[in-house]
Amino acid sequence: MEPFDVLIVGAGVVGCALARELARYRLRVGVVDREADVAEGTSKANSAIVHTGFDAKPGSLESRLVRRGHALWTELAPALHVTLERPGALVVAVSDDQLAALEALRDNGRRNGVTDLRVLSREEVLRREPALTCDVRGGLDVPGESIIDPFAAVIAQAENAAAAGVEFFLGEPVQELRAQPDRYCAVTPRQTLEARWLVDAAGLWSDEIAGLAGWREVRVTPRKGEFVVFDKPARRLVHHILLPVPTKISKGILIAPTVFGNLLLGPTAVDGTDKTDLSLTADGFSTLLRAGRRFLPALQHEAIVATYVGLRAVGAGSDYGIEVDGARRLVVISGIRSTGLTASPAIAEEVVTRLRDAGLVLRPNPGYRPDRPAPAWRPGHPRPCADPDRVARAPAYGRVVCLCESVSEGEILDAMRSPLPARTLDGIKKRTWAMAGRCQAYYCTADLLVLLARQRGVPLASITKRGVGSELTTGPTRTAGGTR
Amino acid sequence: MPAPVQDVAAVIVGAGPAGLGAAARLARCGLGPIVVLDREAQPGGLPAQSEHHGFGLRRYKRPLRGFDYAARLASAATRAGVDVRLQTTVLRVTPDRTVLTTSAGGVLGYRARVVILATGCREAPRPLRSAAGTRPAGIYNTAVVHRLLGLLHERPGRRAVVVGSEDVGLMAVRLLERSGTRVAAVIEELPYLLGYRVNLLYSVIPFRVPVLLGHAVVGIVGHRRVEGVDVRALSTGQVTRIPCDTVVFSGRFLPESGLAREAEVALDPRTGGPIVDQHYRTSIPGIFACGNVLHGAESSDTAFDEGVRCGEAAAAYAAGRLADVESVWCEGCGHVAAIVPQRLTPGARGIVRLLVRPDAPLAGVTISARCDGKRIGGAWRPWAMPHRASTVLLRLPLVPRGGRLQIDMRGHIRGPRYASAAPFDALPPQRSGAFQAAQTAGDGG
Ligand SMILES: Cc1cc2nc3c(=O)[nH]c(=O)nc-3n(C[C@H](O)[C@H](O)[C@H](O)COP(=O)(O)OP(=O)(O)OC[C@H]3O[C@@H](n4cnc5c(N)ncnc54)[C@H](O)[C@@H]3O)c2cc1C
Ligand SMILES: Cc1cc2nc3c(=O)[nH]c(=O)nc-3n(C[C@H](O)[C@H](O)[C@H](O)COP(=O)(O)OP(=O)(O)OC[C@H]3O[C@@H](n4cnc5c(N)ncnc54)[C@H](O)[C@@H]3O)c2cc1C
Repeated sequence: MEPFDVLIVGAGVVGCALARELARYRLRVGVVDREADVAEGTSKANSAIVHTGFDAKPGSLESRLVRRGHALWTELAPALHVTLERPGALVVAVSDDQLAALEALRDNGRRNGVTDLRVLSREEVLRREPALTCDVRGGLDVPGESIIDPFAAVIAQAENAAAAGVEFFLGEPVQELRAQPDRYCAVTPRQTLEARWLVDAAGLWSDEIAGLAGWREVRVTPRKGEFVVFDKPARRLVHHILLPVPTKISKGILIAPTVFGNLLLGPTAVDGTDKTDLSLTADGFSTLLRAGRRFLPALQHEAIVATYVGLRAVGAGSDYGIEVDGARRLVVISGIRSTGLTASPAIAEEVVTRLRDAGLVLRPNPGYRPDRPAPAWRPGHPRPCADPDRVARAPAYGRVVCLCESVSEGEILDAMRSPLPARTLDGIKKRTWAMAGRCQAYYCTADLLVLLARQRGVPLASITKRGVGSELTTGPTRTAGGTR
Repeated sequence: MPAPVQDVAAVIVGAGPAGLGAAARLARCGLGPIVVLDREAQPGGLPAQSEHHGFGLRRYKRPLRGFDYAARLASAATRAGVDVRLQTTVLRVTPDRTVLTTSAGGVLGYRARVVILATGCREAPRPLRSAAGTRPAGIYNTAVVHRLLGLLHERPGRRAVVVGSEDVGLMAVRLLERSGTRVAAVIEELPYLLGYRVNLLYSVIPFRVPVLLGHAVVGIVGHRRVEGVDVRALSTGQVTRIPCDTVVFSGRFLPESGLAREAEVALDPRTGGPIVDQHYRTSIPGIFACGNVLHGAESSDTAFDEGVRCGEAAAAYAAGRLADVESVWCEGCGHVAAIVPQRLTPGARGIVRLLVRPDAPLAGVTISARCDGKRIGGAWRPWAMPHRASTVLLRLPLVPRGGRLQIDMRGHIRGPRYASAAPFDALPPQRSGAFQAAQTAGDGG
């Protein structure tokens, strides 16, 4: 088989954005990921904010790409039908030191080209956010900060790429990379994928992939970020993203509305060594609740619906690491720490520019379309089950499977038939928001299992939460046919 | 295209014992069309999904199988002329008593003189109980286990830990063991067994499953599938890991009050359900609520009886016979955690039943109702448990207009009971190995 022109290792937001950017050209592009779905790494567990970059280090690559990413998302989101809302952020100062830091923060923002920042008085902050603690001393208004559907941000870019011919290989870890004079051979348990150019977009594991490719040492360590999600009634408490005054180490624990209508609290920032440690700690949990109540005392009466943990890929330096080696035909992307969701389309642009400079021939792909068909539902829009016309045309939209989020069988079937079909329960959840409501799959687990198994024509016991090893059940009962 | 709207006398959301009881009662009053809506394919609510015996003791004088009981309630309602519409999900109830529904047949609205919310309850999910640890596959509630085993005949796992010792948890042990899933332990945070002892004897002891009282789940481990739970003995602080591939969170029922909240019905933070008076009126005129949506899990008889009384009151309301009198709060004192109904409307004749739940397991319980300091009723009970209500009858003529009504609950907080029903060395090795601090079940309520 002809080798791929470009093979991307890693189907996170960075890999998928790059795949989409490359799909504009007449190239054979592949994306390989060890997980069963796209967006299974850091890209599914972040704060879901499209940053303006006001607090970035001026002059850094990160600052430039976050700015550009913010601008790109404004066009990309409507074209790809990804929900993006712009509540704006308030940086909230609760001490005199923090109050003093606001002006410096504003000036920093100006240096990054974010010019619409304004320092607000205590009264102004409390007028806008009456539920905030009365310890507020002042705030900084950052009107451009936005929230996004972080799953669709990846899935839509990937689907768009897939529709334009990019091939995805999911559930296939790259275990070995052989560098030959004119190509790389990426060995997975299922096959060997050959490619002229190799892109390492493996996030936390970019060090490992770089090592396999014979590249010089890259260092990536995980920094844990834990989150708590509050049930929908809590969303009424805030109108903006509430940010603490950042410290050198971290952006701090924020409170943000989500496009799904919840309220998000997090993340913590704990350096670790285990890149697979996605456990919420008791300490982290209480740190979050304490920080949340400090800002918003009323949070203590609100119900929690979920918790999750993400790991930031912390590189050796403080900036993004993007290296394109023309001689080796290798791209290594690393250290995309805590702004990669925002910057991903800009990172993709940057990499493609540098690839062209390094000799990759780019001819436009005449069949490429920059948009994707609208899904039956996306966050912030009414569900199809409430639309008489749609239910009349397709009765499956009237069969509600997930009660809490009003997700219909029709939407679930759509998710299983899309260009990058959902094959796992988590895949369904990311695309439809089924199981993500207040009951956390109490009512719908069994129905969803049946739907997935029927649609895929496999036994129930091979349906997984997120790929092999996460099967939901272990086969028919001893007394199948009666369990009395 | 806007959804077509039908005018009916009453819409009841939920075809469980409460909803069917209310509907059958309303139908006998000849008000016009009475519609019951339920998202399930079978009428009967929770009992329709239960194979075990134990339903409808009070009403039918013998314990029926869940689905037999459900079938009887449903046919009684249908005979009374109720229109039961299944596989229909209620999306929204508005304060002006419009009910928006969807089904494969289409989107349909109802405009009703009376709306009754009888949406039942559900078990608290994992994030509300033990957030620490990872989020692998294999974490369920007992309701999911019931569906997997009862409907799909599919085993949820090989080795399970059941969290919570309410009756549903104990019954889940039997269900799991009988279908080939071993149960490593039942974990209960309180130092008492919450479920009835009969369930321990019937569902747990025959399978030699240890019940670890005074133990809390402090973490779940496993990347893709559950690999174990970390359990802390609250008396010693010692943490032990129990290997398992399944965790079943049982009990701790929460009212399914999403529709009520969206309808802007006032909710009681102590129960999580709508605030009602003895006629099951919520804060919005014409919207009533009954059954487990008011208080979490009680018996099917309790839910059914509430339904019947609610149906009666709703009929009176629709006929303009239910006067709007200023009601008084039932104020809880002492060990009272929650009271249903929360408000009483004085003046009428008759007797009201108050369901009172304590904030801790109590022994030697006195419940007394006082009005401006004067005792107007009460009850004595040998014990009371936080997950199960005690009933107190009050004679309504004694309830004051505009006065202060206090319900007081006293008793000794029951001390820990760690009886060793099955000493640990007597357990098969694969069960006893992992945890020594363990204790076996004591006496239940
Ligand atoms: C707590 C937290 C909060 C954040 N908040 C924000 C925010 O609000 N806004 C924002 O813009 N950014 C935020 N970020 C950052 C953002 O989430 C990341 O920068 C971004 O998701 C990184 O994407 P990625 O594609 O590089 O990595 P990933 O999403 O981790 O993708 C890497 C992929 O590589 C795959 N892979 C690894 N090894 C192999 C192998 N050997 N073979 C095959 N595949 C392999 C993995 O399975 C994975 O899918 C946050 C991050 C964290 C942790
Ligand atoms: C495992 C278990 C075992 C039990 N065993 C016993 C026993 O042995 N004996 C006993 O007496 N009691 C038992 N009970 C308690 C008994 O089942 C309940 O008390 C009774 O079912 C409560 O009735 P209900 O009508 O309030 O609610 P439910 O029976 O829960 O009915 C509520 C109905 O509302 C429907 N609904 C909710 N929201 C919507 C919506 N938006 N649209 C459409 N429909 C909706 C649901 O589908 C459901 O059918 C048991 C309970 C459990 C969980």
